[in-house]
Amino acid sequence: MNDPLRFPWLSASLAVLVIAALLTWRTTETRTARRVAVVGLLAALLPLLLAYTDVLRVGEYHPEPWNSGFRLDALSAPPLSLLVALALGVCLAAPRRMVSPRWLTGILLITATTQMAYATESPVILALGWGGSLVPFLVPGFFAEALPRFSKATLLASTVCLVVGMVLTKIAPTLAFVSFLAAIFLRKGLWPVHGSIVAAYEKGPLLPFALLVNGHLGGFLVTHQVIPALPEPARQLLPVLGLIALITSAYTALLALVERKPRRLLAFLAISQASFILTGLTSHSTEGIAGALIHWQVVAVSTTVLAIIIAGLEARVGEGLDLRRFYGLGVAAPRLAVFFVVSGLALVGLPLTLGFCAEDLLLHGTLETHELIGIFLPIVTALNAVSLLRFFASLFLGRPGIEAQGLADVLPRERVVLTAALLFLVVGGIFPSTFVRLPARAAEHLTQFITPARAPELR
Amino acid sequence: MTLLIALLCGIVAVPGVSFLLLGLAWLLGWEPPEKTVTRLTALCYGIVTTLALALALGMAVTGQHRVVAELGSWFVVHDYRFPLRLLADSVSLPFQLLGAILVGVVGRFSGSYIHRDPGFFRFFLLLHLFGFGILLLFSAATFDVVIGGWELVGLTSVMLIAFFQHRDEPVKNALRAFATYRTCDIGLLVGVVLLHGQTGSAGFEALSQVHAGEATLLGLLFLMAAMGKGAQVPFSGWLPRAMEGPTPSTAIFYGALSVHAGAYLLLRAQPLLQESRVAAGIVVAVGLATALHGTLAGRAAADTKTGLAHASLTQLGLVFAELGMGWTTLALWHIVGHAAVRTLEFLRAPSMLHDYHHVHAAAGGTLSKSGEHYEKLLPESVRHWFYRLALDRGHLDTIVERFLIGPVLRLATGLQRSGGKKTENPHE
Repeated sequence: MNDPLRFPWLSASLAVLVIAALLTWRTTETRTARRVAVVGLLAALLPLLLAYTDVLRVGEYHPEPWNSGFRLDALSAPPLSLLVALALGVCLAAPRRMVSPRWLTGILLITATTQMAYATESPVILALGWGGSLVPFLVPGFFAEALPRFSKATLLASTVCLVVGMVLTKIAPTLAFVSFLAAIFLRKGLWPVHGSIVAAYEKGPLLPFALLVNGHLGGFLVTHQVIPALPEPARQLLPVLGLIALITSAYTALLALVERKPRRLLAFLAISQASFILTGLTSHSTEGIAGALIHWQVVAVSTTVLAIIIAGLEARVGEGLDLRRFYGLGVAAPRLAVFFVVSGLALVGLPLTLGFCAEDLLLHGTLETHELIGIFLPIVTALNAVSLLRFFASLFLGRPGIEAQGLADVLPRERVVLTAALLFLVVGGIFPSTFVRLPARAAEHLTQFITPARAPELR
Repeated sequence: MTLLIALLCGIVAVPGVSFLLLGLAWLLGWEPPEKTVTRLTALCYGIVTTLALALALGMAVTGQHRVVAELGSWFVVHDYRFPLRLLADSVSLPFQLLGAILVGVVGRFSGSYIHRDPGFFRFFLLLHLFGFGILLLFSAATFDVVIGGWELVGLTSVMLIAFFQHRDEPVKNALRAFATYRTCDIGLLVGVVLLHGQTGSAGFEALSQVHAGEATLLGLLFLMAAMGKGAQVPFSGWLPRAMEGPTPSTAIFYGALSVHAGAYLLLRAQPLLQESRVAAGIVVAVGLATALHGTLAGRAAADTKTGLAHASLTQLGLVFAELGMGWTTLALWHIVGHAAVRTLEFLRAPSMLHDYHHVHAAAGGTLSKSGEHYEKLLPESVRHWFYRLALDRGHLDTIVERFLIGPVLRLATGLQRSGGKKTENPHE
């Protein structure tokens, strides 16, 4: 029982993803390619879940046998499994007109490379995974045509900063730290470069980009590379990152209040709420870090659900939705409305959802260490909640417009995905212990690096 | 688990389970017929009322003043735990009983009132969620659990204001109510976390460990939260707007339970108000200002429901003033009496209007006017000034828009323009 990961689950999962990507690449028919992608992602998810249960059972740090360079721990197990599940959801629920074999290959590539980055022990492979996940957005043939140049340049620059940071880690730790911060800054779209993410959401491929963003490799870099490898600069400079994240969340929450385009509003909400992950990770408290890790999962699921619904609505009624008016789509599509409002409100901490636990822990953690910063958190969440309800009201409430006539409610394949996501959020909210256990363990581990009393013995 | 603890848990669990069952059935594609829904609701709240009565009887027979259900920790991180603890005592028990009975009564009334409405099922689903939220709030033994119930009550309130979703106005009013709730809830969230930070617990008993200086801050934070739910000045503007919802939900939310949640919070926060005279004084001032505002604005209300909403405001203001003075027993009975009477008035309002028209017609349109008494003592110019003030509901909406909403939206629009994006304000 004390020998977890006896089978190389991670390598197997990655191999399945690569094979599925190759198969979809060679397939010409979209329906077949979608089936291959879905089966591939299911087959990749299964070993991950088995590995997850191993970690849940035993705990801390578990390399695979035959030293493949992959390992799974309390920190990486939840987001890794979640990412593959989200990719599966995206492949299943994406509107038919959006999907093509290359599109699916791109999704599988993003998933495989992000998984590689999550599971590796090697900084080189982490950098490869980080950069590899951007390939479908930079190389023509996948989604590169739709992505604005500014967004491409920002994402590319983040990879360069990451590589520079890794080179400098041993030579100049402080410079390396700054370089890592720049990489996180650019990848997560913190203020003032948040525009790159917003533009990508607005003009780029919505679902693949949401999947890329919800990999949260920026947050992962903080927890896996920056804090453990550079504890001293982390102790001194991480609060700066936390402060910038807080400014970003407040700034984008304000912009969300007056935004009228659904995709841009989604981007602002996603950036604002995702910035809390960094605020929590840099809070130097176990509760704050655990809250950030749980919030990471909530943001990933909720914003992906919102993106799926918006993509679905755009496929049904067109892309020119304007949030200054009411569409009343809830009359024709009540279930879509429920999925939208529950997932959205989970993002801002609705009780009975996992978002409530995350918000509670984040608030306790940040208020415990930085009272003034902590007070901003509920204010920003309140602003986001108002924006979110306005978003919901504009799309689904009010006098039904012409768009609501003959509108199809949730389709069977959408229903499977959205119900699973809703169950995750609600079951996680009612019985949160299972979902909190691993993040709590990871948070305790991380706190040891940045708590002054514990740091010397670790060094 | 003793019998009394089981009864206490049942009071919260039964509406929660019925909501989950109904919600899950609907998500899976089955919308139960009206009869099934109304019977389930009657059964559910019949059970809850029986459980609450049995609990009260059990406590009286055994001489127990408090029943505490320790349900362990909801989640644990390092040395922080979220305790799941429920409580029945002399404060919560009347509220639990009131909640169970009134939700049941309103459920029964709604079965006929919303019959064949396209939103029938949605209404009952939200009613069950509200029942769960309000009973969780009244049964909580810690402020952590209070937050859960508190936010569910707020959310269901907003969703029911927007119940008639085919018109734009109810939706806009629901958004206004939601914005007020969320703004004021910041007080509760921050207050609870600060309380936890200072005493290591968010249980009600932790309030007695708070020192005088901190008590003022915490008391004011809790007051901020209570002002939102209790529609106290200057956050009263949402209450008349909330009358857009269906009459049964108006009765249960703004006549009976939701609107008294703020007063319940202050009942629980009494140790803070006793410790801090400043906080208690502000509670009294806010309460009296609201009572005056309610009685003044109510006189210029053009429809029955809005008139009743302002009458509720007046009574709520008085309850707040009583709480600030420390007259908790009086406040408790005032709340119970007011909730029962106001629910009756709201539920009677539609048929009363109908009856009035009959009587009016039968009397040949010569029914005498009422409501002009003390006003006549004032000079006419002052009366006109008061009338304008009352007609615009004390200019409260204008004040909140000018000094709170306006600056935030202007800042947001300014930031948007400075970022090179030119869009119009979606709130216009």
